[in-house]
Amino acid sequence: MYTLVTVADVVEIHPRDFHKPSKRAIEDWINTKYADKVIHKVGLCVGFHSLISASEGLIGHGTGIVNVNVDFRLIVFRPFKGEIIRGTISSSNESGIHMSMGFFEDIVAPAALLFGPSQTELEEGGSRTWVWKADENDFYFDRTEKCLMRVEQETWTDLSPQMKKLDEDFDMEARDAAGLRSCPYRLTVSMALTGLGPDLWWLGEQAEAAEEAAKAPENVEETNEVEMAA
Amino acid sequence: MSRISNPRYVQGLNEANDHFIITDPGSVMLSNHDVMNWVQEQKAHARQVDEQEEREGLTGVVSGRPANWLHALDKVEEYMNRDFHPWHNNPKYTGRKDRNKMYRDLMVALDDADLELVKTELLMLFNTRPLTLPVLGTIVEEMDSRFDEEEQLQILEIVKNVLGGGEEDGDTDAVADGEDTAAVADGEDTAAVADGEDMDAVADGEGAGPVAKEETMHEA
Repeated sequence: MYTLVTVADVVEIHPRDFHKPSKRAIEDWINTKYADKVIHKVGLCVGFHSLISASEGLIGHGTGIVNVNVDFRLIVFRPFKGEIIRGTISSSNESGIHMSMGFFEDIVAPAALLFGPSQTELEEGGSRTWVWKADENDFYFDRTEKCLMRVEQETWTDLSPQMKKLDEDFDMEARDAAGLRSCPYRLTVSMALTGLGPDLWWLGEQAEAAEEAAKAPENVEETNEVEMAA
Repeated sequence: MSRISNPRYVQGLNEANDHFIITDPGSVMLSNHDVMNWVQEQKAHARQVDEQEEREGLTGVVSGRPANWLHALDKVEEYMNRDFHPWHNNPKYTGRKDRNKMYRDLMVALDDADLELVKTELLMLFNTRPLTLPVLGTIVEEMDSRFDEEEQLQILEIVKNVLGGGEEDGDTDAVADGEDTAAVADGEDTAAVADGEDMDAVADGEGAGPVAKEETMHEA
């Protein structure tokens, strides 16, 4: 799920930070800029990992800011396609299920990538829950269930001001088809193979029924078609 | 302006002049355990330095840590502390050196049994530690055509032996080897963080794959 990304950047050390040891000033600057932020088409940064090299400081005119050319590594979250990762179900709507990993919440499992075409949705007390109707058994995608999911697709949206000329009436709060706000990095996952979805399904007495249903021809074909399209 | 209010994309100090370059977008893969250890070390080191500053009366002189960094570390640590990870309540995971050894043991054991798995599958085995066939099937693609049932069970057996399997549930079948329990977390590990020592990457045995060789980690 995690990789090391090498970056070259120009670190600016302000006079107010001159008392800091250089290493600390550089690390803090890098963490302020990158930690918990998404780099377009690279991933979600966790933090500064290690320094590769740093040039001598060059003092800029007027401000007294010292510029240092730094090569460094960051720890970045970016699961690869086909990776099996763990998360919990956070909410559901008509188009699918939203998954969360705590530190990363923009994960969507659209209806088409859930078990079997025999998928329907039940309204229980006002909130929606997706249910896999497999033969005579009902398997529920309940909120807060721990699940395994398979990463199928990444979607990147460049939200930096200079990259994209947005229309005047562009609404940052608008939600798209999946019910999510525009976000820089989104994962589309599937839960349609034996072993994926809530852990509970594959343990205990219902496990056999689940395995049988997962192997049903309509489920397998659906999955293959969707995977090829992805 | 609403477009700047989104906090999740990387924002330079001065947008127009932001020239950061990605020289390597991620060719080295880290396991979840690598990252968990790293987060713990970062927090411990930060705490240690802050306490030192307090003792020397420098609190407030050296400014605090970036809030977004602390938030990222906290959130990742929270995720890593959840009970579905293989290291939870598992005596086999005692330190950084053991982890690399475990990864290598896993690779060697599978190799000795002629069970061919791709690098990414190996990493997933290490991250999710499957204990049942359904979960193994999610990790190993086309499992039924590559391995017969006996071989599949063999993979599970190897995973259980090397990574531990269910001791936390009081399963007495898991045998702790003498060498596994002897190792103790190194004191030097935490000190190494100060020098920006690289975290051990997942070792590459043979063949091509997304996981780089351990040697490349020590170029710095």
